[in-house]
Amino acid sequence: MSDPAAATPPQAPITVDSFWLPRQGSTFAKEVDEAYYITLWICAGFFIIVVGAMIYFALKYKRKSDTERTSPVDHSFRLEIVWSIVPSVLLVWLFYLGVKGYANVTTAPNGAFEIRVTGQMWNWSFAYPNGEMTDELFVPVNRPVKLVMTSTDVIHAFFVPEFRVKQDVVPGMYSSLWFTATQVGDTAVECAEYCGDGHSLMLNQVHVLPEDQFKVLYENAFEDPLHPLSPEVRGEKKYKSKCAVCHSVDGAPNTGPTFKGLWDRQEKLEDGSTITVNENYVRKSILEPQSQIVAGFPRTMPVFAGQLTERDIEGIIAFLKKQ
Amino acid sequence: MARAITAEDVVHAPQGHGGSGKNYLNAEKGILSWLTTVDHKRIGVMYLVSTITMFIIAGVLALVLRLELLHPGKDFMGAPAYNQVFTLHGAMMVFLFIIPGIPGGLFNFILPIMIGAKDVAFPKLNLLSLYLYWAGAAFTISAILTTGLDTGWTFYVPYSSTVSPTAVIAVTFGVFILGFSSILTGLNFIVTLHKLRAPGITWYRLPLVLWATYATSLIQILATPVLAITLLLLIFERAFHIGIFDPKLGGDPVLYQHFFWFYSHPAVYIMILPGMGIISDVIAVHCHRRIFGYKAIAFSSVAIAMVGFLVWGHHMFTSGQSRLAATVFSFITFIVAVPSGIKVFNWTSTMWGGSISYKTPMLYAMAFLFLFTIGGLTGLFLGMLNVDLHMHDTYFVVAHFHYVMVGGTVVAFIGGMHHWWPKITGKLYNERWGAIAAILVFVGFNMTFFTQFFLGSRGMPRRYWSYLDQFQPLHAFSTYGSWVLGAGLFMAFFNLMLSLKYGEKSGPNPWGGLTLEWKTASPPPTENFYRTPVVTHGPYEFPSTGKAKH
Repeated sequence: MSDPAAATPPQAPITVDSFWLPRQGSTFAKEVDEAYYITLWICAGFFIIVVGAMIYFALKYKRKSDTERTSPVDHSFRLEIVWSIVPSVLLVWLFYLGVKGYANVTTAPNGAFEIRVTGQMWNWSFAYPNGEMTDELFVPVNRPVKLVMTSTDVIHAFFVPEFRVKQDVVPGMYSSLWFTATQVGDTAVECAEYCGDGHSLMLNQVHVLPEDQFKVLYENAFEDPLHPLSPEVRGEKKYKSKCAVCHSVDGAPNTGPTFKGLWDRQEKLEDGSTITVNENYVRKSILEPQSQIVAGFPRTMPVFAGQLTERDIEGIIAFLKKQ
Repeated sequence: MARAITAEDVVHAPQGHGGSGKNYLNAEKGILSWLTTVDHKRIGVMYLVSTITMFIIAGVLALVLRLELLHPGKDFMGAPAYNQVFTLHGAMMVFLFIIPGIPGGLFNFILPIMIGAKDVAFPKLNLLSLYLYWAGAAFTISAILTTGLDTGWTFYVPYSSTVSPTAVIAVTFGVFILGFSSILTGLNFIVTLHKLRAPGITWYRLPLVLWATYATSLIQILATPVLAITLLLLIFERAFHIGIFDPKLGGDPVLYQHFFWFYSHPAVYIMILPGMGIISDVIAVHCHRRIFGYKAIAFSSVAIAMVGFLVWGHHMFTSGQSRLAATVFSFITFIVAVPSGIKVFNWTSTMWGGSISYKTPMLYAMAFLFLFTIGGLTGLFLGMLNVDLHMHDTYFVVAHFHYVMVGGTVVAFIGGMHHWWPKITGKLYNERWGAIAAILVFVGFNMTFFTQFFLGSRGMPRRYWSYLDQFQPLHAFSTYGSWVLGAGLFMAFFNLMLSLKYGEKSGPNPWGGLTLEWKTASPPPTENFYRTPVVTHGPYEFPSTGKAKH
């Protein structure tokens, strides 16, 4: 196989294979879609009744003279009962369908493969049981996966349209969701809870892999063991997923200082002192960013301790040196 | 001895014999006479001018948003600017237009006249409501001119309390003040409806628009204080870090959502119930027919107002609230659909056997039936727990609430403006342009927002400045629709404005309505009626082909 970690593919799209809904990418999708289509048909029925009657009456009873007399019938107890009871019965049915599916979605099976997810402004990190970390989510196909999620700053929401799952990711608590992916391939992850300037760029992707391929990657730190990445390429990957929202590489102004020509540059800090951008400064800025903010920039850089391995930081340093 | 009112009583009420011989517009002159007036009609007109101004500004902001969404990435403004614009669009529409617009503007004007009263129960309090509205609006607008606001109209913590660099405190304090304006208006209307009804107006002879006013006022009084408390807590959190919402200080951000929606879901009914009231009256009058199911419509308003307090958790199905809570909220959400359905069926049945005019207000009423039915039905998808996990916070939700708030409330408001325009101004607007504008609004609205149902169900989240390339064609279509909608709204606006100068004079009763406001002159005299009217029939007892069975 080609090395999925080395590639920096464009954002995976959401595969849409019906008029209304995305492809069914998880075991939940079928049930959600059934509930959706049942509701759609019920709604279409009521809509046709109401709007059909309205149009029919509007044409049939169009005013012909201002002195016309009109129907004296001003109520019908029988009709009121019918149009209270019939919708009520249908509504209870819809409620039941929704709760039934919801019970499945919120009950993860024992033994699900557990991945920790951290959301922060404006990227996602994934930590696996063996301690490895990735910027994009890798999961095996046809195996229950449980995500245990938290946020380091504001509320985000983890949303995979093809899987029909969404869960808020809240600071100060763990929330979870689970799914069993059924389609091998890549699909989009989106942040669904407004979280500031980078909200719409907080995109990510799930790579659904056959079990054997997943195993190879999982045991090799999610890199192809035959073609290990150079630190610089690894750093570029990390840059794209973690840094690019706020730091440009072409000199363009952004939330944080541009990386262009940053290495060895003299930077004035907000406390008035001056430092040289070297290995130690970069490492400290990643792990404890608030300690050395460059003058003139907001104190918004998130803390990446626990989300990047030492090897990742070495990669970023290698990448920075080339800018 | 009191007797039933006739138009002659009012129009010819002689000066010095209870009548001023003038109408409320020309009774006094000068800007000061307006600013110090306690006449509910003048206050209503000032409310209308203010809220419609806000509607125009917030509407232009919406056009700007749609234009930026024409392509993914930056068209002409970056994400920070976009976020401020969508926040201001939402906050201004909700707090400065929809909530105060219909009660403060239209209902202020018609309510006392409809019950044969000279004014509301507390005229000075009414003026205070308007001044509070202006003060709250000034605070909110100050935020636009200073640092903006980028939290969304929901002010979710901890983004609003710790991260957002914008004027959260100024805006929330503005909304806090606006809340008092809303409470005072509600209080005033409830007392007025209890104490000032003319002889013969029993509760079941109230026009249905006033039942809706009553239900709306109840929610305004009961729910708005919760918003006030929530916003104060948010201000304290942001200013003093008291740690009630911030998890870093041991607070709970989900608690904020409970507080916020405990007000803001009932507030959705503050927004839609007045629209429902207007539609009840417009349909009956323009069909010249007894309303079908008077009591069913009246009591479903009250039922919606009450049950509406118990469904706030359906905004939080993905928030991590308990499964039991989510299940209960889902069930009650389905229950609240029943009274809304009852209303729609009764309105439709009112057209059966009527004498239906195609005048502009009726066109808006039919547009309302079409659009509100879609808006209401699409709510069912969102009430279903498992389907909502997919739809929540996507464009499906955006489409749903715009169908209710714009397709429902705003369309009803514009219909109501055309319906009562001759009464308010004494002028008739141009019917042909009115009808063309109504059709443009209807077509443009559907182009803009029906598209967003597919966008949402296909996985497009809301509040996105940029988006996946695959959504571009649908976004573009929605943007084209917004131009048609905008053109329709501006046409309706200019048509009404031009009628002030060029419109024909209206008689007291251009539509053949039976309620009291059509018995007085257009525009009405300051004291509304020369003598207290006595009402001997229901609001919709139009000449019929037979005798009604009761």
